[in-house]
Amino acid sequence: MYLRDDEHEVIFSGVQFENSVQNSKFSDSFQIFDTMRFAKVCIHFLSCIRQDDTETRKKRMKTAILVKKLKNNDGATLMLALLFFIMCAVVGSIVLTSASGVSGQLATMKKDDQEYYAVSSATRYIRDSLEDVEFTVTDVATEGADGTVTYTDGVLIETGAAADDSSLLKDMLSQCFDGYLSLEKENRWKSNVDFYYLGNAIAGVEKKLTVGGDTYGELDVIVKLSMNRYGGILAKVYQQDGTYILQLEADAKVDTSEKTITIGDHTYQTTRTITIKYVAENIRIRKVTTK
Amino acid sequence: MKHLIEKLRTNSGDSIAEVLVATLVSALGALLFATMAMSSTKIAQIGIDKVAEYAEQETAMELQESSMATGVSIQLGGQNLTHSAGTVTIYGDSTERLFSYAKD
Repeated sequence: MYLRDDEHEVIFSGVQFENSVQNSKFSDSFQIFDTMRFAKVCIHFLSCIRQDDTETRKKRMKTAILVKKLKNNDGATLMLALLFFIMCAVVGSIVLTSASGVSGQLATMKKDDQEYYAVSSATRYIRDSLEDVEFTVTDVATEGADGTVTYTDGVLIETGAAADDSSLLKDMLSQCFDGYLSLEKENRWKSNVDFYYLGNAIAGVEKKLTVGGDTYGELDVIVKLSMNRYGGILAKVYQQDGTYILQLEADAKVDTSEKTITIGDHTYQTTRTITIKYVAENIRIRKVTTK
Repeated sequence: MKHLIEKLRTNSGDSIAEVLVATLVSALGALLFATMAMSSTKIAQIGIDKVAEYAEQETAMELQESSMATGVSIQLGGQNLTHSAGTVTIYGDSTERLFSYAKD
């Protein structure tokens, strides 16, 4: 059934109930109810529906306004123009950003190049410096007339250096030689002593290499120097927070020579000279990844 | 979108005010794009010129064609590496701040 007033219909078990409660179809279908009582119930029900319908009507009106707005063509030209404006602004911005990116890349490229030149220049400088120098130590053994032998420790000399001149490499080699000089003097002269073995290994020392003070700050690098017990040098060159790391390996070329000189009838002066050089063929430069 | 296409197809006209404002907005958009495009071209051209100039200076520095300074002292932790005077010749360009050096 369905109930209905002026504006509404209510489906109720498939039986139609017209606005009037005296409708015969309704009465026929529900004979067990008091007609008037049922009519009151129905009127109350319809009044509730009317309240609900007021809200529904408002919603429908809103929907209708929205639909109307969507279907309305007024102002579409302006919207098209705005879309065109936005499109121009977006495309223009993309083009401008791309062009600006080229300048940014140049700045990054310059920074990378400068780092490379600083590191490679320093490494070449170390190589060139090593090729120039020679270090010698001369041990002297003197046999007296009574047959006793006295030994004089040799002093490490850097070729061409003034007596009081102290270079970093000479300092390191001196420390290295301490191992050799600490050997018992008698043992040093025995033929079975390996003179190529100089003594102490020098652990890595970090030094800052500067060019012209602060004038060329871009060229500052860090050099990590270490020396093995055979006088071989390992230098790692890099910039603080840099990415290029070059490594220089220089094997020491150690030569020993001995001399015996006769003085008078009974005195013999014997010398042993150890020469250390870093020749070009024993120096290697390569790029490494760790400091 | 459907309605915009509809609007483009329809023969009915718009008010003069709407057309004027739309034209103004479109013109502004076109002007903005043109300005941006021109600026981009200029920036790109400046970038190309700079790269070319930079490459030229870098090549000159690599070939050590002209030195910036000679006899510049070099120190390793305040010491010379070897006894000989640690001096170098600087190559490069002070404007670009791109340098390399070689032992004297």
